[in-house]
Amino acid sequence: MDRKEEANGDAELVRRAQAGDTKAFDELVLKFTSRLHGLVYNMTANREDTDDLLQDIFAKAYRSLRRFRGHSSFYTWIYTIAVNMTLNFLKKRGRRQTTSLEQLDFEAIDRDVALGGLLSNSDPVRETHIHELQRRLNEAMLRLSEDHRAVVTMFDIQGLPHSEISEILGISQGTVRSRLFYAHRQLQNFLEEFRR
Amino acid sequence: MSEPRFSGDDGWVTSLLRLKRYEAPEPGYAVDFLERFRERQRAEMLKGSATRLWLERLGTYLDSGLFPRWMVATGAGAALAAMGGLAWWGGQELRGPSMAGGFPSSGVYLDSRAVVPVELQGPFVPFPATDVGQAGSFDHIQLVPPDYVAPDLRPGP
Repeated sequence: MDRKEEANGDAELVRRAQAGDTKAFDELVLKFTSRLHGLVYNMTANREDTDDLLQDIFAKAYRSLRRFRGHSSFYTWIYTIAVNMTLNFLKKRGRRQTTSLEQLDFEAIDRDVALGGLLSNSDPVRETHIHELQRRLNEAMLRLSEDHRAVVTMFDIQGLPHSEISEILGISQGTVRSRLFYAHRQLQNFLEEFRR
Repeated sequence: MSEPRFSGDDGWVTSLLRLKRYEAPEPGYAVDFLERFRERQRAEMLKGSATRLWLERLGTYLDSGLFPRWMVATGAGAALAAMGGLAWWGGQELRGPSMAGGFPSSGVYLDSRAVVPVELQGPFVPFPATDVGQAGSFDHIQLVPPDYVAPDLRPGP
């Protein structure tokens, strides 16, 4: 399903949900939970905070749904809510940050060609090394500013194009590129030991 | 990811970041999450008072960006001033000129100016309600003239 078809399907679910069909909203929750979980988790690096925030995000979306006019796609709209609420949460949390990481899908890692070169299958303590890399990656992400972390999460981890990131964050595409550039440079410094 | 890279030297960092794509909650998380979300919505519906829900909706509505910030701030200021004014006016009404000593600890409130203490509650109050409440005391009210002699109502021999 391409983006346009997907957006049309979402618009139909939104229309039904606005008319009071709670099952339609349930479908939207099921559809977007995984993606929004990825967004919030990669910005907070904490499973429990992610779960709590997701509840708040969908509750807010449910309350505000009647005023959604469809000027943007539902996808962009709910992403905007999620990013803003997560950034507010991070500002309130400040330095009180504890990580609690999600489990890794090792089968999917094995299938990823781009990762294969970095993580050799012949390594006898491969899983330990991958867990160490996971820990260090999350630490490095937390050392970025919230704004830089948001663009890295959406671009590098979730694969959103610059144009969508700029719409979600309400900034120009040039600013998105600039933030990515500086974030990558910082990450290179934090993760230098993993360079091959 | 078809977007061109801003810098050619950061390929290894973006490759490392791919690992984070495979951090995910256990299978079935979305279904479990939806169930908890529904439960929470139901609990909030039961718990939330009408006023709280109204205020929350008002907040969300004002927060939606439909109104400029100055308009929201001015409206909130005007509402606060009106509430303050009403509270002050209500206080003046309750205090009134004959309530200098404050309210008795118990009584029946007939209106904002008259208070009938418990001991005088009954079908008949033998003096105007405006005389009640001088510093909370009723000793100054003479119900009978000082030279009045009560008739002997005992039955005769």
